[in-house]
Formats: sequence, structure tokens, C-alpha cells
Amino acid sequence: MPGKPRLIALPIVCLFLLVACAPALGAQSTPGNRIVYGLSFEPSGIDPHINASAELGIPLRQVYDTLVYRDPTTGEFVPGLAESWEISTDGTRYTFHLRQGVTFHDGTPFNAQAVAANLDRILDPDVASQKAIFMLGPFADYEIVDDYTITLILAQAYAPLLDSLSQVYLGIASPTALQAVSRERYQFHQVGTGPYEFVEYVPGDRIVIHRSPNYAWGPSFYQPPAENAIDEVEFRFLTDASARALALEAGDVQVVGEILPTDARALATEGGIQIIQVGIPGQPLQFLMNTTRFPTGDRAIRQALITGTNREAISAAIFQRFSPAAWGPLSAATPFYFSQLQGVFSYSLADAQALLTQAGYTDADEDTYLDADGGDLTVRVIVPPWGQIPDVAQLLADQWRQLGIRTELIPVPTRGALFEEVGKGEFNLVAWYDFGADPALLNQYYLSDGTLNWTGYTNATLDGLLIQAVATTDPGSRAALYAQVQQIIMQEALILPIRDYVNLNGASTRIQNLHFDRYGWFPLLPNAAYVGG
Amino acid sequence: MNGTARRALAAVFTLWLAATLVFFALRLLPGDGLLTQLIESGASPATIAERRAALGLDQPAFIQYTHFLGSLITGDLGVSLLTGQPVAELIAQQLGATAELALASLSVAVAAGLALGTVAALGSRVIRRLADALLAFALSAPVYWTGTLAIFIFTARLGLLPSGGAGRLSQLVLPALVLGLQLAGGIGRVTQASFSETKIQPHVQTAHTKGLRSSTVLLRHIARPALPAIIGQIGIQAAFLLGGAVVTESIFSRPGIGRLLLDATLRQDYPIVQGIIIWAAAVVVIVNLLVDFAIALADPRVREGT
Repeated sequence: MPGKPRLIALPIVCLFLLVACAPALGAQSTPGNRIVYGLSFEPSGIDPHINASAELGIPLRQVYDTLVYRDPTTGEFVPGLAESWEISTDGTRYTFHLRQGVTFHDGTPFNAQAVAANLDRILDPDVASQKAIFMLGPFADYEIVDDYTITLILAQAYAPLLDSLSQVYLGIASPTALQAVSRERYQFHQVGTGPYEFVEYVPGDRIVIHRSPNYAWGPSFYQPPAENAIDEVEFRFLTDASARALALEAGDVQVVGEILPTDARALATEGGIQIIQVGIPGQPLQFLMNTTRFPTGDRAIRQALITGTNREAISAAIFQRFSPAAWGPLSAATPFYFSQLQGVFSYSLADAQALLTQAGYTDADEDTYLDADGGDLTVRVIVPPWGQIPDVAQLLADQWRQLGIRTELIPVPTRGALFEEVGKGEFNLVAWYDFGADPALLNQYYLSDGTLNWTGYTNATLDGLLIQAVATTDPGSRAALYAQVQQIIMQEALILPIRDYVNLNGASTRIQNLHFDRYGWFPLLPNAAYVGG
Repeated sequence: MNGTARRALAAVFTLWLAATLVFFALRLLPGDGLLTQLIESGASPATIAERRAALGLDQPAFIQYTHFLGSLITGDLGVSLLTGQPVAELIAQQLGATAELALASLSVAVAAGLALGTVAALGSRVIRRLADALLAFALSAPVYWTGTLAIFIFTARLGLLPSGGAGRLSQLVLPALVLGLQLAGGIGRVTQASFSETKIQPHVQTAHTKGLRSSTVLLRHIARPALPAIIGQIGIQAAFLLGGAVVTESIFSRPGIGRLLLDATLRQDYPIVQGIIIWAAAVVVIVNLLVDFAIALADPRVREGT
């Protein structure tokens, strides 16, 4: 059959031609100081006043300035668009003296009216802000004192206000740009005063920002542009973790975040790649324990579960030792972190077993599980799919097996499903964490009537401390209050802390001076350089 | 009722069924993206209730359903819970990238599938075995694995092709090959089965005996009768591709409807999920009509209604 091979060969030849030609057709040179930055997911929307994702801040922190900044080293608030500020003694009036001579990227002058226009937008019910509006706390009104002075008035003292005002969600946008397009379209036409100008957002594909030539009003920790400063950044959405690592290895991207610990270990041995570990402030990976349900209603059981947990083994097996063990309700990177909790309830199988024996739990039926209610002593654990929590929960189940405790895992696919499962109240532990640089985030979880009080714990003393800490502006007093808060939470063994969240960033070694801000997620791109591009 | 009217009615029924199923299925799932976000942001229960009422989410499911159907008839797919953007616009933004990948991978799949299927049916014993094994591999190797492997070899090790993205032809090659290889498995199997069945039919034997050239026999007497089955298979895959290739788009960091669907599902932004399912159903209906038409052209028996 001589005719057949020719027929078959045709499509195959076409295929190979396509492959062979493709690199040549697609080849393009990368301009010197342009980098590609891989984001680990695409935010649902990138309007910082409306949307809530942390990922949107990675590009947009560069586009907007905020009234104040947090110094990345000290965590102190430093001037941004506000040169100075005063807080009234009762903590309800914040007066900001604004920097003069600042213009938005579209030429609009920055002044008190611009700040007011931003506040108006965030508070507008039709704008339906999902995060920024709530960060303003008990905000009541503002007063424009003069063109460069504005006072924010609160219904009651609210210490986290400066923290909120230092975040990109309260970044100051050009009033002209806000007016020019509809609420839904502004995310495609963003204009700020920051070191980079917004160029474009193509959904599903990229966000591009370009260095602003006129920027001269950065906070103290922004250095003047280096010789090899980065001129343009293209952010791409690399949602698959393995693909992120491979793209970095191949040189298709110069920076990526959220690398898997195993990939980070492998990449660290590659030439030309640096791994930058950044501890994230807020809550560590933790399991909140339900104090209203047997057996975690018993403090001895809660203490035994913590003491019987080998955090080192979990860190080694799952997080490749990139993550420090967590000991309390705040991670070590959080302001007001109480370091004296380190080592509390450190791992000891013998101590955990002794706690259980003292509390009267025995294995009378000799089935290797402790007895409870005619069956085995069992804890039910809600396990969401993110952050390698399923792996952690599996290891916990193995470790607690040695205590004679049976673990029942309840997998939930989404946040909505997790909330519903928690709402049923039939769980003992639930894995959860939240990020932020102000410990006021603890209130939702530990106030007796907190909306996320999933431990069900009520304590008037703790409530008093939490409320006072939010109403106190003096950092020294807050530190003392939060020290007590953290101690009570661990004395009562309300949570099982596992590890501090560490963002594993990978970058080409040609990227120099890449540091991250105090919130951990956001790179300080104005200070970075790209050498030999 | 004539054939065309019957088909149109069936198509409308299919779309209605898909829309209804997805509407109620999504409402059986706990929570939604907006609700969980507002709770995490610390919104008060009163604020949350207000926000939900503004979107009509406080209405009973049946009332929401009638609104949803009413809008759907006018072509309105609703707006995203989290950004307020029209769902139709969100889908349209991703359509180009999806169509590009669909076309490229389908070309690869058709070329490779027909070639492998033909060889697996008609080649010499060793070649048949080899092609058969290749088809089995194409069918069984998950894109998640072949995709990662392809990036590892062609990008990280050889540096020949970019690892992902969209816009340039070079960025299309790896995803089109990886996805095309998998789809080639299906097309190849159908080709192989049809050809194997036809080659032992008496009319093929007769054609050989009459001394016709092998290529003529293959094209006219073996391939032609097998065409309807192959066209049907290609149609199924085209419809599947236009609904979005979730895994391929994720691994190769490509924009597209599949990624939009995945993100919206994870964030519980239900209007987007609904819109994409309805879009996918519409594509299936339309492609099916086209396939029927193409089969009628290819097969005189169908054309003449016997």
C-alpha cells in the first residue's frame, strides 16, 4: 500500500513545522528594566476601595500613596501624603496636615478636597465597598479645615485607624479619574500619586504599571531610584503553584509569590534564583477550639491536644522548615506580639497523656482509644482545602492517635461551606487564619459577642481588655493590654497554633533590593533594581 | 411539526433545563462570595442584610428564579456579586483566548487523531501496536501531568518555548499540543474503530480486487463511511473546548473561560458560574446542530432521511 504513508505523514509534518517555527515567530526581546511579576491568583476585582483581596495590593501599592505609611523595619507610622497629624486626647479626632505640591498621575492636584472625595466614594452605599468602608471603623464625618488640612471625626476612639489609613484599600485616588468613569469601570482606569502609574488591566491576562517620572513625595523608606530601577512591571496571573516555580526557573517571570515549600527547597539550590521568606503579620495557621462542645469544652482536653501536637514534625514534613512554630494567637511578625508565650505547651507526649489521665480519661475497653460516652474519645475537625491545611490535619490525626484520641476530619470546599459547618456547632476544632498588622483583628474572634467567636468562649475580663486596647491610642498601653489578651487566650487553651504564615517569594538573583512592606505581601518596588536586563 | 421546528424547540428546552439546574444547584450550596467576604471584613449583620437585599438575594428562591429567567430571555446574564460587572461582558472578554486555544488544540487533535487512528487501524502489525499504545497514552495521561512535564522539558530545561501567557503564537504552542494530544486520543479511537470495522466490509474487498489504488480505497471506501462518527467526535470536543479548558488554562497561566469559571467557583461568585454554564450549554446546542448538518452533507443515507 504505497499511498498510505504519504497521507499520514502530512499532518505530522505540519505539526512539526508548527512547533519548529513557533519559537522564531514568538521571539521577542525584553526591554532592559521591565520585569514580569507572577501573582498567585487573579483578584475578583482590583478596585482597592471596593475589593478585598490582598493580591490586588501587590500592583496597586505601587500606584497609590496613603496618608500615612508603616515603616517596614520599625512598624511605626511615618508620614505619607500627610506630613504630620494630631490625635485628640479622647482619640476621636485625627487632624492630618497634608503635603503640598503633590499631583496625581493625571495632573490633578492633591489636597484636602481630594481626600474628602475618596472618603465620600468609600462610604457611598452604591459603591458597596467590601473592605475599605469597614476599615474606617466608627468613622462619622470629616472636616476640611483648609486646602491642606483635614480632620477625620470618629464616633468613638478607634486606635486601628492609622493602620487602616496606611493600607492600599484607603489609597488616595484622583478625584478627576473617579468622576470620569462608572464605579465598575474605575478598576480599568486607576490614577494615584504613587511611584508607578497604572497602565492597563486585561482581565485574565495582566496588569501593567510604569514608573512615574515625577514622583518626589515618597515616605522616608522609599529610596531615590537606583541606576537599574525597574521601569515597567507586568503582573501575570500564575494560579498553578508548580507552574509558578517552573516559570521562574525558566526565566519567564522574575518574581513570584506563594511558592510551595517543596518547590522552594528545590529552587534554592538552582543558580540564579533567590528565595525571599516574609513572615506575615496577623494570625498564625491555627485551629480554633470549640469550648461549648464535648470534649473540647474541657480545658484539660484542649491543653492535651496542644501539648500532644508536634509542631516541629509538621513544620518539617509539610512546610520544609520554612515556617517557625506558632505559640499564640498572633504571629511573630505582628506588632504587639507577646514573645513570652514561646514554648508554652511545647510538645510532650508524656505530659499530654498525664493531662488526660488526671482529667479521668481511661481506656477501659482496651481498644487503644480513650473512652467517652460508651464510644471512643473523638474530636471533629473542620478542614478547608487551602494553605495545606488538609495535610496538617492528617498529621494531627496521626499524632493524636498516640494520645488515644480519634480524629474525624470534616472537609469543606469553600469559605461558605466552612461558615455553614461552623454554624451547625457540631465541631471541636476549625482551621482558620486572618492577616493584618493591627491586633484589633482579634476582637471579631475573642469578644464574647464577636461575629467570628467560633470558640464560644465568654469572659468579661477578656472583653474589657480587647475593647480597651482598641480605644487606646498610646502604643505602650496597647502593648500591655495585648500581652494580657494573648496570655489569657493561651491560659484558656482556646486555640491550637501551628505555624506562622510565611510567604515564600522566589526571584531572579538579577533582582536586587527586593523587600516587602510591614504587611508582608506588598513589595517595595521603588527600591528594587533589575540588573543586566 | 417539521424537523427544523422540532430541533429549535429541543434546543430551547435544553437551554432552559441547563439554566434551571444550575440556578437551583448553586443555591443549594452554602453561602456566597459576597456574604463570606462581608463577614470577614467585619460588616454588621444589618449591613450584610442591606447589601444582599440590594442584589435581590433576600428574595425567595422561586422569585429570584423568575427574575433570572426573565433577564435571561433578554440576553442579560446578570452581574458579578463581587465586582458588579455584567457577566456577559466578563465572558466576552475571555472568549478570544478560549477560541484561540480551542482552534489550535482542535487542529492538533484532528491531525494527530486522524493520523494515529488510521495507522492504528490499517498499519502493519508493529505500527498498529505502537499507534494503539500512543492513543491509550493520549487518552489516559491527564493534562495536569503532561502540561507540567511539557513546561519542565520545553521551557525550564530546553528554553525553547514560554511557559505560559497569551497573545504570541509561541505561547500557544505548548498548551495547544498538550490539550490537542489528549483530545487526539478520542478522535483517534473513533477513527481506529470505524476504519477497522469498514476495512473488512465486502465493498472494500471488492474495491481492492478491482485493482483500485490503496489511497483511493482509503479515501473513498474506508474514510467516507467513517466520516459521520468522526465528525460527531470532533463536534463533542469543539463544544467542550469552547466551554473553557480549566486545567490547561491554569497550568499555562492563560486567560480564558475555564479560568474565569474556576475563579468564580472558588469565590462563590454565582452569577458568573451560572452565565458560563448557560454559555457552555448554548455552545453544545449550536455545535450539535452544525454537526448534524455536516453529517448530513457527508452521509447520503442521513441526507435522504433513510
